[in-house]
Amino acid sequence: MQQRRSRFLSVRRPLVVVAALLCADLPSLAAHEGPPFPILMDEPVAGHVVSVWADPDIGEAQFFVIVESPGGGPPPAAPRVAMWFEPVSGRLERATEQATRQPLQNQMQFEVSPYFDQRDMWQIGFRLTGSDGAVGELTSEIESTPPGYGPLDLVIYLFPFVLLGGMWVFAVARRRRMMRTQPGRNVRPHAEVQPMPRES
Amino acid sequence: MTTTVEPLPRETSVPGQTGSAAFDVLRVPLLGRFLRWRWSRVTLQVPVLLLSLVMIGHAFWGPQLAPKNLAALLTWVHFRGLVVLAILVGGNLFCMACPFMLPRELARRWINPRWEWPRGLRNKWLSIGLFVFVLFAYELFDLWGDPWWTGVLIVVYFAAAVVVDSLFRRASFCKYVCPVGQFNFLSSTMAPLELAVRDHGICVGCHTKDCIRGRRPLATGSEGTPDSARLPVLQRGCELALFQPRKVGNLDCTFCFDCVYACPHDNVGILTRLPGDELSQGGTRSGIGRISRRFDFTALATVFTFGALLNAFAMISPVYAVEQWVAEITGLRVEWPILAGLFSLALILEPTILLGAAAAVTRGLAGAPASVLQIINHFARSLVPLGFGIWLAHYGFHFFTGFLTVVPVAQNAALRSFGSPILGDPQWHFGGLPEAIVFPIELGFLMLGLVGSWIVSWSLAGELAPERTGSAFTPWAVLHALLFGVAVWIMTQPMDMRGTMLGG
Repeated sequence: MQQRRSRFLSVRRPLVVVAALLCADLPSLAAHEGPPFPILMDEPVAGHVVSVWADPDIGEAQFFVIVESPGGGPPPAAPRVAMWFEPVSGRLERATEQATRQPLQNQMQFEVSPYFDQRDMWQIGFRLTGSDGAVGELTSEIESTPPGYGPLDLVIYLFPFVLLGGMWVFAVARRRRMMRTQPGRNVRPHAEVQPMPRES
Repeated sequence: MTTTVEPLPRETSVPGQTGSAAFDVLRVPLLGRFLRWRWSRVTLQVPVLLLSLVMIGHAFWGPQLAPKNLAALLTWVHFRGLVVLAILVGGNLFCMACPFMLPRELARRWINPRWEWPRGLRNKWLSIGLFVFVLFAYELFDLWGDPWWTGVLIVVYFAAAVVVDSLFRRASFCKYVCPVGQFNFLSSTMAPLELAVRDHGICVGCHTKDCIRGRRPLATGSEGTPDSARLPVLQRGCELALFQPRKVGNLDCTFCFDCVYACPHDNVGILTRLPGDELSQGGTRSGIGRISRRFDFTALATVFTFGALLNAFAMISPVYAVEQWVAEITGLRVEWPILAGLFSLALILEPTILLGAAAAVTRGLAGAPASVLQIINHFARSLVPLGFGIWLAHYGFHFFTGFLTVVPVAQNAALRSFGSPILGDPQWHFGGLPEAIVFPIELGFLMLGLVGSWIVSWSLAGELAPERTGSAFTPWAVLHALLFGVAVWIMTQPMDMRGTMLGG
């Protein structure tokens, strides 16, 4: 039993090492919490229809502004898009970031990355300046979200896979050992099956 | 059709645990009864067909912003994710419920296909080409962000299935044309379930072979009678030329259940087995032959794996930088030659160098009496588990981070179609799991893929060089680890809005 257990552990060891190596590189792996979600949909602004998707992570927030013409599809000329943000409490002054257009086909989309310093409620606004000079603004409120648990997330959610991998290796090794000791077992009697008729 | 079946070596083991000891899903009380029912497949196909029709309608007449369109969302987020997850936990369930086959079945009520599939095309080359073409078109035309072209793709798929199978006998489209099918065939080698014979002793005594010939009115005991072949088929046998007693694994199996319905002895079950074990099996397979002698299977496994890396790489920020850099040094102002160059690099040059190097080192270290090409053909199968892991990680990311987005998109579609919120007001805040959870899941799939590739290559190394297994194994283990590292790097790159498709 002890021998079997140590063999099982030795099989799992490489997997644990891989997981540990990956954990060591967590600062670069810790991605933002949650996928972007829409906060404004199909709002008419400055002769355009605008939707805004938010990924308001602390320290690495991203906002995506999708601009369509009123009839649908990307507008013929790109507007200028800027975002302002300030804590609802007023503890910081209002800051403004220019949005940059993303290289996507078939749709006009802008990205802007404001800096949220801590978990808080933020007043945000998106100012569009059309090519014809028309200006419009959309405002909303949003809560900045903290990152995940970091290394703990990885350990918790990776554990079932490590377990599965270990069981898989164990099962294969066990079956091969069984086949070596009992060569006749699990053999498909192909040779006895009459050949399929050539006309089928 | 003439199909020659060579006997397998007697020492060839059954993949996984197929046999009487395995768990049989068809023995599960309610589920088994439903699956054995002759119309079970059609029952599964009809809802998928109706959903496909809704998707086609929304593709052409719905909003053209991909995140708000059912065709784009369901095709590129839900369908792809569900296909690979279903294979992981069950088997080739998409082919089983394939909606493309229903119009084909209807067409065959009036059109009797006259021709056999051309002999020169009875391989995987055409489907490999189509598979690469779909990957290429996906990148070139940003299909994930283009509902209209996504709709065109679905319609073309339906039309192709009907046309091919109206002209050619048996399941020519599935076996030789369908790129999704080839993807599913390779992926389902990693599935825990397989359609297999329950008791081989019964097959030894069977003379009718209904599982492949089909059941005719006087089938029992009618073998050899000249008129039996002219009788109408009550239940067709396997249209993919997989003779159950000699079928090995899930390759080329669409889970259509024709063999289950046709077997007069109720001797075909859905049996559990060890995922990936069939990739270690040698010998001749019914309907396929020897994989190690089929370079088209080597190419398919290679494109499957390196295509997984390429498809994931094309969705992260560095690919834009690479394309921009190539454009600057070449002066090219159109995308397709740059993309074609990237594809050639990733799907031809890179695999040739890496597989060739691994095979050459294996030959040198293990002293294997085989050519480099033979060694590549022998080991190419070991790429499949890792390739499947990469596809799982990639498609799983899209699915897990965006699976609830279908709710507001469907609500919005109903609102726009009927003018009132019959499904409720669009709940646009619905998304999916946070990346803090999804990233470890991606990593877990990649790790399982790596472990699977190592298991398979260890077995293949033992077969190639029994005395120097470790030496034959090492180059391939290093190659798998290298590909795993690249995949992990890709998954850790900025993903922008991939989960919601706004960033591809």
